Amino acid sequence: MKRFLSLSIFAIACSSLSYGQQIYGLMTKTGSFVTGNNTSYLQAPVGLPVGSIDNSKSTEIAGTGNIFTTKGNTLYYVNFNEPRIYKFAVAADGKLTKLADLLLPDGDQLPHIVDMLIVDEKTAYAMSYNVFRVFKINLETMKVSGTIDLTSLEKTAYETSTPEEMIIRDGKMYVGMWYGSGLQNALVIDTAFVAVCDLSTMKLEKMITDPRTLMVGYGCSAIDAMFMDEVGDIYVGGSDLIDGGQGIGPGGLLRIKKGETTFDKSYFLNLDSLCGNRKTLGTTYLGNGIMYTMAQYPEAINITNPLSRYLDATMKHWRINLVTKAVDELEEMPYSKGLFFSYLTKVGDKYIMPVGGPNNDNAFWELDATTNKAVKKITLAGEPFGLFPINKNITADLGQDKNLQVQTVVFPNPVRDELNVLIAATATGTATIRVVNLMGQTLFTTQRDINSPEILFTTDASTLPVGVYVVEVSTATAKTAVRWVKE
Amino acid sequence: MKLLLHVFIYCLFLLFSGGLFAQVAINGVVKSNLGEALPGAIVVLKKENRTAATDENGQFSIANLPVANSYGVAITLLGYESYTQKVVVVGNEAQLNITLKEKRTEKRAVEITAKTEEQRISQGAETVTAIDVREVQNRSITTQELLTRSSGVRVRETGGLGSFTNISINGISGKQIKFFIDGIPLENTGYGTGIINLPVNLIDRIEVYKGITPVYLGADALGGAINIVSNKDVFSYADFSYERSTYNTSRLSVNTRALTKSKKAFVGLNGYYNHSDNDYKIDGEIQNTTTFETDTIRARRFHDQFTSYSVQAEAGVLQQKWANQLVVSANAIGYEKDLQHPFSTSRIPYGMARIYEQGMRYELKYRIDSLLQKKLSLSTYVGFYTVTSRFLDTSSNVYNWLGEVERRKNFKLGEFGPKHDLFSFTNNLSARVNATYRITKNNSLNLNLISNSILQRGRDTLYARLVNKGKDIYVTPQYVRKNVAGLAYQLNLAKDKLINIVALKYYRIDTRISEGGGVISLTADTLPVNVSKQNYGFSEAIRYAFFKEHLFVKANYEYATRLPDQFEVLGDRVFIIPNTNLNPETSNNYNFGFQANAKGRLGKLNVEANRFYRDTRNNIFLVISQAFAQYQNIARVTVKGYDGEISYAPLPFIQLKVNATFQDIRNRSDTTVVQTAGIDKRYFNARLPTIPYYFGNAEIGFAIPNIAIAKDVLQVYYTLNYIQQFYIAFDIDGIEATKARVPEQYLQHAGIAYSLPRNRAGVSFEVHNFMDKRAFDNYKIEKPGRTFHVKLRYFLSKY
Repeated sequence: MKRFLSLSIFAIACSSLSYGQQIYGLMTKTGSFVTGNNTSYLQAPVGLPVGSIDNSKSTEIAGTGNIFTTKGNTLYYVNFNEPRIYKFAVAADGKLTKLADLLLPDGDQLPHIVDMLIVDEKTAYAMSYNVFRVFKINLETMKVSGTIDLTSLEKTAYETSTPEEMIIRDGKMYVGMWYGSGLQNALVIDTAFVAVCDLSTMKLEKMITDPRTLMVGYGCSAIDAMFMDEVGDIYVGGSDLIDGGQGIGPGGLLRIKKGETTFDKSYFLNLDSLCGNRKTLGTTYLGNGIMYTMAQYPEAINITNPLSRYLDATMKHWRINLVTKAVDELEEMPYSKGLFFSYLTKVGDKYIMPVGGPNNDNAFWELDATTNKAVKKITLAGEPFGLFPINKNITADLGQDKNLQVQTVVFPNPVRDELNVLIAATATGTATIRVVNLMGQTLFTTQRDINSPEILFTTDASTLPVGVYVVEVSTATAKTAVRWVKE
Repeated sequence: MKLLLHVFIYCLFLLFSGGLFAQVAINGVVKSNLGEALPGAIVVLKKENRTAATDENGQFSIANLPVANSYGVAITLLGYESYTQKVVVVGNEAQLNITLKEKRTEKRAVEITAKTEEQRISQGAETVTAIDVREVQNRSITTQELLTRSSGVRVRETGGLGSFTNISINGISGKQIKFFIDGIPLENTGYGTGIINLPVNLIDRIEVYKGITPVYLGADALGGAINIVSNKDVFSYADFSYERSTYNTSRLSVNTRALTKSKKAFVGLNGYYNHSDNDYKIDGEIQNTTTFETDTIRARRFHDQFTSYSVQAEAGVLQQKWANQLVVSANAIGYEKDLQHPFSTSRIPYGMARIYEQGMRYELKYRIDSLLQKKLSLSTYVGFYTVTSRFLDTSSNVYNWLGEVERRKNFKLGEFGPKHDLFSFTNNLSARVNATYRITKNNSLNLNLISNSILQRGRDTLYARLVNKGKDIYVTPQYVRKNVAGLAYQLNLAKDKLINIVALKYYRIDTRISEGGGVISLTADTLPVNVSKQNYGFSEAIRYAFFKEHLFVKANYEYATRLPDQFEVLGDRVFIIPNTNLNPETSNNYNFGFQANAKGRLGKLNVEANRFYRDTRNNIFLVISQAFAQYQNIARVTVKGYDGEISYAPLPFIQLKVNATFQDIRNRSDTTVVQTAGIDKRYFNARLPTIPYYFGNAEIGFAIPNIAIAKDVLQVYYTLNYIQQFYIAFDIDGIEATKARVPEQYLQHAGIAYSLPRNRAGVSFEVHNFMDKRAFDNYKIEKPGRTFHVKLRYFLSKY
């Protein structure tokens, strides 16, 4: 899910801010063995909770939540029991008010939203499990504004197939797919599939496949399995956590290089073997080549309980350096339930990491990605589904006008050789990118067509003198400015 | 034997002497106190060993009597007080005009002098509610409504007639409650949707045992039992009733029995037919297939028809020297049910999936009361059932709430999931022996042994072809044998003021799966798998009657067990995997209560209250994961509560009844045992959600006799059902306003019924839920709103 990337980069940009008044969207899931059902609890605490937080101030939604996410001052929640998206307004005191909901069509079985990608406050894309379509959603009206037809990719022999995950780059949407049969005990096809769609025409262009790994994502959850790095390369994570007992795999990373729409034949990272020949799930990219995944430890599985491998805490986070291939297990951590907990949210210079430990020891841990150590921070009443900042009080601090629909991030910052400017925009049009020094002199200017919700502009900055600079991005209606440092 | 010999010699004497002397005849006519001729009354001259029965005009005649100074005439008729009189015959013929006083025809209108069977049962040592069904047989009431209206009991339905139901008694529900017909446990007997579809006209009374199950009901009931006692009148009758109600609902029931003149043999035929379209309206979402916008409409249920039927023929002999009762019966039984939506939600409608079931039951019952100088009564039962059920889900159609086909699914998929055309063949052999030995007048022993063997196999060639490359995983036979033994000792002291019953029980289940198949985790080298589970039980019940039986105080305790059944142990062969380590559920059940009755110038009052406590352990729940599910012993639950009922008749023709139940069901599960099930320690001691905890009923009825003709009755009645709202998730979580709930409900019903004297015929009209409130037992699964009912009943009796 691309959302993660933009959020984490967004967090980098505001890392110098005070977090006292930041509102967070927080969801936990509780199990009720009586009904066999689960219940979701959504809340928006003002400030990062200290010590613990329960569900007494949460909005209850019957049924398991699948994913939720935030954009602006709005919180979106997606139910697991039906393909429905709920929209909540978040007030300054953290009160949630349901504004609308949108039901997408059901698939043939297990109806739920399999992925939602929010581009900006007006636009999102979502997919319903087992439905071969991408739905473009107008978030203001909560109505479907267009679809990309993927039905030609539906293979009737594989009845548990679904498009699984989306990512957008340069006006193209890449849709991770998976094909499985055997109904409940899915027999997964041992190949990775990604559909490439053009967003300007809303048409499927082609499907690319690679047999080196398998299903993209988890087929039914909020696991991040695709991300884009600073250069603009897309990584696609295959997972073998559920392999239908076929012993297929391995889980690993494929790459679609910037400017290309095919898998990079020269690149494959076998995550299973890097993590000590364990089954892996999920890709969470933090930037600067650092990624986390989760690996399942067979010794943590209670072999007397056949449900243990799916329900118990059996997984640990691993840090992976994509450049050096160095791997480290996250130390001194309890096993965690892995299935829903791959989100890492940057707060300050650390990350908030959801951990569903043994015996319902549910908490947010604070991860220091530099030292690869984590400490338990906030105890929760229910399994954690992530913590996301709600973009409310900090918009002014960011140097952005609330009405501007352009968001600009510079990375890495400080810049050594290459200046990367990531521009997130809500509308298409033309953006003017200017680099100015502190004296206000324009050193460089160019124009780019904004044809996708996020565009990456890269230029060589190696010849610039050391110092502080500003990059300005302006459109007909919006203007942003971000400071950066040249080393 | 000595006595018999005396009688024999005396009879011989009479026989011979009769020929030698002049003969006398006694003729007469028997009438009721209202002047109606009473057919079928039995006239006995005990000394002379002569009997006769009255004809249609109430007349009888006994001729060829030896001359005597006087004759002791005794006349009995069911429903009337018996009559005994010394008759002196002047001349050689006597004409008697005898009036019998009615004992009990209409409880509401007529003062009860004798104890009814319901009173006798509810005044026993067990905590039990006995529901007299006869008094409502003219009404449009169902067995399940009768249960719902009694205290401590809650019946939850997923829809209209034939929907899936869950019955709870004092907070314990589902498989933990066992059902019986005439003391015979119903396990896999073809009553697929439960005995609550039995028409009330076939039933005499319903006994609801709460937390304590008497030994003669031999089954592994954890929290109580419901025993349905069928009509057993010893006269010839035919009872026809037909009810017609909203949503094309019909209920027909026929119950006939013909006795020989001597009343020592009978044949009977009874049956029922129920049907409903269940096409009531509920909220349904309709999605536009191009704009994807949704609208909620009041949608008519379009695939929810239900039909059930039963035909039973029986024949038997009664009151023989060698048998007080010997009955054989054959019963064809079946139902068909459309499945409108999945079990847990009505969001997605189904339009084709169905269930069928057909079965035959053969039974032999034998009872003798006069063994060992009448100290030993023995009753035995052997039953064989064969039931075929079929789950048919072969359509890939996707329906919307307008009943239209929107699209088609993958060809391998039906509406519920993978396509199925699943036949299940169940053969069930059960046998029961019950012996009561009366040691002295005040001491008795009751021994009950019951064995129930089930052989089950299935066939689903469609699923095999589509999913398993032709290999049919359902053909694997499963064999289950369940044995329950119980021994009770009853002691009556202080002229029956004190009753004490102490009992021991033993439970055992053996399950066996002998061949491979699709059972995951069972491979050829682990087969055959035999799983045996056993446990012991104990119960103690004491009751004392104070103030000349105006107050009964009772206390009882049972350590009860429910054995896991074959589905829980062996799974469903697809999604639910076996758990051969599954242990029995156990419960410590305590009851303390009283029953008081008073009668005076201000009317008649009956008050009952019961305080109960249950501590159930190893509760079996289905734990669901992404790939599999499994039944596991995960929970410990306690129930504390009370139920009570007050009935008051200020005047003979007015009856008021109010009852209420409060059951505080708490989670006490050990959070450290199984983490898989997600039993969070935060919920320790929290009230279990999804289960109603406070509910009650109020009823007022008027029964006005002599409206058009003498002894007719017009009844007018009103009932209110109340359920407190309850949450779907634990109440410590979430803002109250946002919590999912089943709302508080007041449902009101009213009716009027007219019946001819002695219930010869009746007609009733009722409106259920006349305020047309939305009714729910389960979250967002709506039940029918207002319904209109008309019922006709015709009752013919001949003696």
